[in-house]
Amino acid sequence: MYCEVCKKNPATIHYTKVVNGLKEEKHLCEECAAKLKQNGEFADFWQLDNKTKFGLLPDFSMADFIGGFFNNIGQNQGYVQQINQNSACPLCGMTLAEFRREGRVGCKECYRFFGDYMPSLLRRIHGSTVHSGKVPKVGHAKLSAKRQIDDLREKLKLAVANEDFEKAVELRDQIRELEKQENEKEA
Amino acid sequence: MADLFTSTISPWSSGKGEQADVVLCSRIRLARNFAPYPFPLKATEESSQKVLDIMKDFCQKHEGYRFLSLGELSPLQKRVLVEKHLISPEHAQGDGKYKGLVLDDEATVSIMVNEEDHLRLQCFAPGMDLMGLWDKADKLDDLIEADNEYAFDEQYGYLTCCPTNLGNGLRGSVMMHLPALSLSGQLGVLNQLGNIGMTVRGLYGEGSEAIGDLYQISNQLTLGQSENDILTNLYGVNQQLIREERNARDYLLEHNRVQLEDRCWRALGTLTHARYLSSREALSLISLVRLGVAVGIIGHLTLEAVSNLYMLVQPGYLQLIAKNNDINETERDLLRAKQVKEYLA
Ligand SMILES: [Zn+2]
Ligand SMILES: [Zn+2]
Repeated sequence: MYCEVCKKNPATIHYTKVVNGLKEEKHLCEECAAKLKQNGEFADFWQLDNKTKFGLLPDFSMADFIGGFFNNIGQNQGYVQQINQNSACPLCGMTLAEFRREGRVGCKECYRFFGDYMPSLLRRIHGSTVHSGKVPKVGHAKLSAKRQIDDLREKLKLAVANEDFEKAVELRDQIRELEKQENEKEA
Repeated sequence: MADLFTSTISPWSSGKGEQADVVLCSRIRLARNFAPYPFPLKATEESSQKVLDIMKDFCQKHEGYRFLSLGELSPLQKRVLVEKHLISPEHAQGDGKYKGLVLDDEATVSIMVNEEDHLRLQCFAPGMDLMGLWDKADKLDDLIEADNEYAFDEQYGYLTCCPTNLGNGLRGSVMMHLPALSLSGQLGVLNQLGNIGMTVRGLYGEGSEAIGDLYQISNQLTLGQSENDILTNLYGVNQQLIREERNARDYLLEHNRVQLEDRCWRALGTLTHARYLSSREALSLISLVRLGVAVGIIGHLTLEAVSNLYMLVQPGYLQLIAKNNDINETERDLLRAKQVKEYLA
């Protein structure tokens, strides 16, 4: 796209304004933009830059966030820092310094190794520390079945509240069947 | 194989599906890791290879899936996969030696292997279809787990490389076309979404700017909520946005009809007659034409036909069909204009 004024240079600067409910844009090269700006022609346009364009959220770096988090708890006297900066996760070799720098962990053991930090970190990120979704059906069959039954119970409550008794009976049978299967496994 | 790269078919540019006037496509992504191996960040060559082998075996065992080694693809082919949203820009980086990709026959399932996590399972559908996709992703996830132990903790859920994905590892996204909210200066509404746990991104995900009035809305949090709750919230937020976009379109039609017609037809005029088109300009013009088609101003084109242009104007795609690696930007802009002109003729 070429500059609207000189029609020679590529347009690298983009301005926008809204007139009568319609957006008007200006695409200019740096030179022409500077000239027009000097003449005060752009008072009612605002420049778009990539980060703030139309309310897009600015870049959010997890590493910065987690780094900042560690700095904050470092200042908190009440928090016991049990892990030496240089001791490493036994499975993958990740150190605390590395975790702080990367904002990410190296393996599943890290979650245990850096375990002291996890609950408050996760609470900051997610507002929660306990998973309440899907569970692997094979690897964690028992918990998976329990979650499935809980899930069906919720649906049953809803069906009863909606007086959808046909659905309720169906759900009740499903729950009984699952519970029976689980009891047989235990025995 | 060839048509994967040279066809313009991609999940986000079909123009089909529910609520296609506003929604381009829906996507579900699950982050998963295999228990025995360190995550890609700390992987060894040996452990990375093991993960690749697991997924190669999976493709052999299950019909309809094929495995691609990213190390065997050219940078340009990888770029086209990014443009089709089948892989992330991060996954396309480097020599790709230990990175893989599993695709189903229709390229509506894509599993990135050894990206930030061992697996990033992605399911795509045109238009709005979050629940249908969750069903599909859930089953695929079970299929992989049947033969492999996932890294899972009963308190923390699915363990992921970045703590932000911990829990269910789920990211649902909906790609929306919001030209009327943009034209009427009402996109500030997107700023509010952060407060209710949603993220807004541009066309190519993290940090990318919004070109062509395209926005991806996705959930931010993955720990403490069930998949169903997350997707129900996301669906609700998107329905609200769809309503606002449609209201804005109605408002413009009612109060600024001629100006709107002028904008849409001019955009189509430029697309059909320009000799040079940059990708940024092309995407802005396509946006107006798509709006014109969606509100009935431009009657001779369909949403499908316009949406197909999205892939046609992508830089990597153009370079690939030019069969010339040295094509410069001006030549590419020339080729883009030629392709668009021929397509619309
Ligand atoms: Zn100029
Ligand atoms: Zn570790």
